[in-house]
Amino acid sequence: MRSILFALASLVVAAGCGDDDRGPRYRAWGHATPRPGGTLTFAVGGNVATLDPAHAYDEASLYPLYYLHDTLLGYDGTTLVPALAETWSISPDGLTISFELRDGVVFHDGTPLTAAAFDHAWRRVLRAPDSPFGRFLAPLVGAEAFAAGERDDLPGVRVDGPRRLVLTLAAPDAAFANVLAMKFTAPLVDGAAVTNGTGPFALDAWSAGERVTLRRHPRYWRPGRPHLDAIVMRESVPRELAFLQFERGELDTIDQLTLPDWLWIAAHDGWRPYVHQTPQMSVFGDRFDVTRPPFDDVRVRRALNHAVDKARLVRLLGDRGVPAHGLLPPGLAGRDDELAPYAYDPARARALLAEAGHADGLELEYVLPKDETAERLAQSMQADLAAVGVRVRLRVLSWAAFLDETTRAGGAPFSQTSWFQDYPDASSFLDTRLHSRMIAPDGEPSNNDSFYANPEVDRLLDEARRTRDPSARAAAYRQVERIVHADAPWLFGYHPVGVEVVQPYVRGFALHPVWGRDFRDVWLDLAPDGARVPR
Amino acid sequence: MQPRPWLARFARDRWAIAGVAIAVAITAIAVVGPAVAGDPTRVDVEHGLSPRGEPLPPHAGAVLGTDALGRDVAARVVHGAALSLPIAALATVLACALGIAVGVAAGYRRGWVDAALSRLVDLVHGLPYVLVVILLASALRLSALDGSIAPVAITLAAFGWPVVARPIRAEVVALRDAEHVVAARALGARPARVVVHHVLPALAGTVVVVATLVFSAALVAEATLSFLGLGPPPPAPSWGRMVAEGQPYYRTAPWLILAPATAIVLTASAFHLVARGLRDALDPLRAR
Repeated sequence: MRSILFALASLVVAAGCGDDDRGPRYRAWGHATPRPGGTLTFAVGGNVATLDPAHAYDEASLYPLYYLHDTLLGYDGTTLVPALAETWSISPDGLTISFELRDGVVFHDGTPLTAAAFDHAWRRVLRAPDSPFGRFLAPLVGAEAFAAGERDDLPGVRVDGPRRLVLTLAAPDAAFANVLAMKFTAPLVDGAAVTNGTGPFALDAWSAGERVTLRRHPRYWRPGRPHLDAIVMRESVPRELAFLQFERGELDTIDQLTLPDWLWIAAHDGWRPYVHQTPQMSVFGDRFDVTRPPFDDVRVRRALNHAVDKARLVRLLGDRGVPAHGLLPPGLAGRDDELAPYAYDPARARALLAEAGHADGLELEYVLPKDETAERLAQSMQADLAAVGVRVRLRVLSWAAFLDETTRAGGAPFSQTSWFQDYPDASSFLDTRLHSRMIAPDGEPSNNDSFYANPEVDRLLDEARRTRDPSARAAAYRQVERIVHADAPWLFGYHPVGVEVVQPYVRGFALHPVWGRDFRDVWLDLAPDGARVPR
Repeated sequence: MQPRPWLARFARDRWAIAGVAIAVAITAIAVVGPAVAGDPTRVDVEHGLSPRGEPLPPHAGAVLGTDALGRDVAARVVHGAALSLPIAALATVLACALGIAVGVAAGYRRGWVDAALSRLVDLVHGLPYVLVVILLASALRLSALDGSIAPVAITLAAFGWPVVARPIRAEVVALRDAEHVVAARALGARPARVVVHHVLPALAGTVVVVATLVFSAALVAEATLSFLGLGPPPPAPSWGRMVAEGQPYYRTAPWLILAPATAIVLTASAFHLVARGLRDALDPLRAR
């Protein structure tokens, strides 16, 4: 009841304020070139669980790592480019990858970067109990045996002098180089803290559950970077609260706006120049357990895909998304752009259901996490499915219970799902979510939680992984796309469009197609005395 | 036949009469409304949202506006009455049944039965209400009862009965020594007979007052549980859920909170006024 009173009270307060002025409070000073200095403050909804690169795998924990650590490779757009490596080359047979390290790179503590720092970090990850990342290094010769403790050498990683690193793969793997841009592969100094990296910012303080403060790395290898003196990341700030803080000017930038907050911003022309949008490398939808009735019948799965109006789902996101025809988001190599999402066609859905022996309709249970957006979209889907005779009961669970319930064989057969890429490669979506290899035995949590096993898809995915020719790879993935589209192991939903709104004085910001929000090149356009300029 | 004095007193209480009027109106809406009002679950993006996708403010087509899915808020409030009132009623019936049983047993038997039951009442009273209610409601939602109104009603009853048991016990303690009860016992009537024929009828007034109070409290408690997501699952238009779903829109579409919140406050207040009027009418010595 107290919550209701609070809601009412805030309503009265809001009505009393009656602020017609919804535009930005501050403006840019107008410097023509980047100015050094200043602190950028932003907030995340989650808690930083760890700053150990061997374990950080959630959004909040990965944010600080993005600034603390650089890796061998990085991305220009979605193309891999050298970062800590000066040059890199892959042997013609695709089995050997050699790196020459950049000269003059030092860790935050002043230690110069050497090839041995990578070897140390990777051995650490492979032996770290419960690290989610060991599997990414499995293609290296001897990595699995090393991880299992069966051998103490790691022949797949050869340190050839202080600046040369040679990796050997057990089999050609065209996607593997992407792993070397993941933060868990960042070099570490043996005996130093795991936050001691080579990235543009060093750890200043971490008050767990409250904030992480990063300060500029004065000896960063990229000349003239970073511009900012410090970055402050506030933890566990709910989205609605973050928006209020942003409006008051306490936050310099904000993402993941709730629908009403997004509509509020979109309705005001004053904010328009400061809104950044980019398609996210992710997919949202609903998974079926294809081994369990009624979802073991492809006609039922197709019927449900035809029954849901995906254009409306996107509409209900404030147009921050595009309907999906499969798993691969727009812009990813291997996506078959000629495929269209399942047409919204209730008559066809009814016909398919009747064909599958469900002319009288179906009773289904749908499991979703407790989340405002998920609940809103689920109710829209529920209404669509009711229109074709499928009565859906919604079961809302906490995030932990939701994961537990929906990733194991024998759990809920129909539930909300989503996937965020580990790296911008079709394999990060298709291998991870649909290869039969990703079905865990004995009711363990599976990434392939549709329990979809199609030998032809497996074969094409394996072939694409071995193929180095980009166009041949893309062709194989397009073939997988078509099979997956027809088999419909998911009720394909949408690919979200990421939105970031920055204060007018935040300059040099762009949403990165791989990393999303990226403050590495940001500078603050403040008054010469460092103060913000009121509008 | 003389008009009953308490009824005359009640009729003179303007607040109580107002409460009755509102309570009757809302009950009528709960009974008749769903047949008249539109579909509360019909999602209508085409006509129920602004071109930009915002909920529509009150207008001729939807007198209380539309929500984030373009659904008619008026239809949802009406259907919400048909959902929330039965839950509160079921909770009240269960709480009264248990509360009367415990109150009578404790008050009539006295001794260790009284001591044990009174401590139990204290114990339930002392529990951190919201926390335990959340626990219980969550547990019941995992049970076979999930999906019906039973989990919420049982949860509310499990915490509502001490409110009934305490005054009943107090009254029974007094009644036990009343002349007609002592006489009945002296004539050899068995305890069960004494209770049924001589004690319970005398409790009617208290029960009516307490039940109305419990009903009013259950209504608010149901809204709280639904607000926390522990009420009937979506898309059920329970008032508490409507407030919760409308909360992010408090600036852009305040009617999403105002409509169900007004319904909650109005209904709970109405039943509370009735309870107060009844109490004063039945117990003239306590009247203002």
